[in-house]
Amino acid sequence: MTQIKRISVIKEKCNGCRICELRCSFFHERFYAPSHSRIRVKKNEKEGIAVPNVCRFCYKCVESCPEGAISKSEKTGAVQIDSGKCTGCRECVLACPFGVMYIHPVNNVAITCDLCEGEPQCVKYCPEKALLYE
Amino acid sequence: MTYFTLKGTIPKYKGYRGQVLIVNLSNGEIQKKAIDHSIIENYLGGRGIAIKYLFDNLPKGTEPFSPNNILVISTGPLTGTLAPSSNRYTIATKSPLTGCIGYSNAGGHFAPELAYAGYDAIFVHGKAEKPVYIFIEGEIVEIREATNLWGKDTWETDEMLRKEIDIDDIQILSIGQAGENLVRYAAILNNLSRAAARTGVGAVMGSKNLKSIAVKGTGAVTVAEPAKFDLLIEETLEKIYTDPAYPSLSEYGTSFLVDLSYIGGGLATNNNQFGTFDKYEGLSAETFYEKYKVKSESCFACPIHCGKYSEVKEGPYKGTKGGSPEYETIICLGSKCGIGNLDAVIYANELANRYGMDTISLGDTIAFAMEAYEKGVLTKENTDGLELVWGNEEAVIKLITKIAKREGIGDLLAEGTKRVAEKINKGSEEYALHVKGMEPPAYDVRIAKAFGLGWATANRGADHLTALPNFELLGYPEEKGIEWFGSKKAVDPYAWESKARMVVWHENLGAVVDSAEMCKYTCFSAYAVKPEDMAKFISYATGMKIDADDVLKIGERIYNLERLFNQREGMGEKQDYLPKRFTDEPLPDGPAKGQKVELDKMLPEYYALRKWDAETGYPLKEKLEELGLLEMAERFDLI
Repeated sequence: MTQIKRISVIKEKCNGCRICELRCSFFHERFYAPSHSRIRVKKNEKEGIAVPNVCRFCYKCVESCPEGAISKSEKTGAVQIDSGKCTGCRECVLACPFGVMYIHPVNNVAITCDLCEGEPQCVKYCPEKALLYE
Repeated sequence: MTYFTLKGTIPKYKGYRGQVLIVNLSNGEIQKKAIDHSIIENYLGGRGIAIKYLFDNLPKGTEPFSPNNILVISTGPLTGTLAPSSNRYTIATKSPLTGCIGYSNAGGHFAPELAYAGYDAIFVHGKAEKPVYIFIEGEIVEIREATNLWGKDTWETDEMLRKEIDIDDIQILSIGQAGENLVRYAAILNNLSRAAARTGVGAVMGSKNLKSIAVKGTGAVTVAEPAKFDLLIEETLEKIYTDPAYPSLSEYGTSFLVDLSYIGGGLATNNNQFGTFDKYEGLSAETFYEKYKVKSESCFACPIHCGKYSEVKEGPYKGTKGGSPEYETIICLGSKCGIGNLDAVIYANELANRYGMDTISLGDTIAFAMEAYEKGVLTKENTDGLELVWGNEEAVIKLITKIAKREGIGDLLAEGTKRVAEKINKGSEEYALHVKGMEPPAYDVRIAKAFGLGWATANRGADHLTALPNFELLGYPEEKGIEWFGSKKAVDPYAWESKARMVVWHENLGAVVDSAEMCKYTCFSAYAVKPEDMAKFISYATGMKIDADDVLKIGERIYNLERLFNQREGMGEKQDYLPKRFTDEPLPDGPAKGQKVELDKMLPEYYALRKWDAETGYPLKEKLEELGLLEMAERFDLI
């Protein structure tokens, strides 16, 4: 089995522009909304800190789901969510140690990074190259 | 289309959110309305709808600090999208500094949040009895008590509000003590260091007892043609990233302009008495980069990220850290005051951001006081014992606090250069640098003639951003000058020829840039977004079908309406001047020695191109008719 590629963050490089959030929402929803993004930049403006926060593939959510709606993608290793089975119960949100499992504001189902079918848009468009996919 | 009409319907255009808020602080009434389609088609958003709303709703002759003044906070059709650097908002009002149209514009992350909350604009009327802030969380809009925040600086306010509201990633704009104390050049700050600074908008906010606006939105911005819009972004990014100025702006931020003005001999020094500065190295881009820069700090969705986060690592100002001073600040609070030490400038910038003041007007007013001190018009007896000699950084820093709190000499300097000169007299008017009552920016326009004309003709007073004719500075080949503005002189910053045409074009497009709410660095630094590109951005975002000519026409309409507003508010004739220092006193030193601004040669051509009266500088009937503004002018007997 080949090594799973992950998104990693060079936090010193992130300037907090949040282009990643918009790229993510546009790819998945065809509109612009950070509240629908699977990657979100956490900030402390006073200290000049900005850190993109995204799924680390620990799969704690897979174990937590009472509906069996969450699994690991064979192709990319990303977490995949069967929105037909998901009830929006939030067990996965509570189980996620990194706070990167969200509930879709409109559809009320769990969402998290799916690696954009193997070409993460956030990585592709980061102007500082603060995100890596390797 | 006549009056600014508001309806209850959802507009047909995408990009917009479809709702505006009208908040009356006097009686606590909050209304949600939709803007009429024809307003959008004619004025677009941001700065455009701001002037239209003010012209129609602000009673003629309103005193700027009266409860009747209106504060407009407005976004545009690109706000919240991925269109590069479309993160800005306009704050407009009748300016307490100039009595003219006052507007300011800031980046950061506030504007998109307001869009995601579902609003295109907020129109604030009246005055609250006690300090308040406006809280917006999607559909929830409340006027909340802010007595505990009054007297706090913008950073303290930001921190306290975040704790009190306790919602992740809320966006806040606030005034500091300067706005509360009606300092005539008080600013409004968001994200700690992003300032809507010019024309004293913060003082009007203070006069309304409005401390902050906090907003959280979880909605989306949709565009009419997502695929085309996305492709256009891709093309624009390519232009931005390949622009020769991109590496400087993204690495050094606007501090690289310190070096540009040094090389050109227009490094404004000692209240613009000189164009060279012996302590230049202390302010240079290299010094900033090596000693202070920590990292970039970007506005929302901006590929340029000119903002920098910096830290002073040693000396008496050690530990000062935050958003860095921009070029304007480095000059106005630095070399204009004879200060060549970035430690002090960075600290002074933090104070100005915390108190909430425009660093341009602040630095300029202090520089003016220093020249008055040099000439013996001000003495230690009326400066609270401060020695206002060039380069006295301790005195400048003390003055900043005095001004924000209106203590001692600060109470006088809080009035701005023009009013200070009127008060102290003794010939100080000669070196009181302002246009229409507003102090000028950093770049000495004796080495950039289009900028000189732009300062004179800007509706909000001495201002580099209204026109921002960077074209003349970028070292373009002569052919490009001929192609764009019909003259090879267009690429020569010392030449006055063809600059009138250049300024009209930039002012008109600039008004649209401010109304779509894109950053001028995308449009006028890389020239990555020209009128035809802006037309595409707007068309693909909204579904409106407009072309390059329409874009420039909208800009011209906005510009002329602002001019009519100034006329109505009694600006009088011959308002487009420059201080004599720039027109009559040639630069005495450096590589540009002998240069001055030939305003008398450019202005008649400018008026002719604008179809404005050559004597009064106000729009002629023919032009008003063409722009659909005649009825509005006739309403107030302006024609």
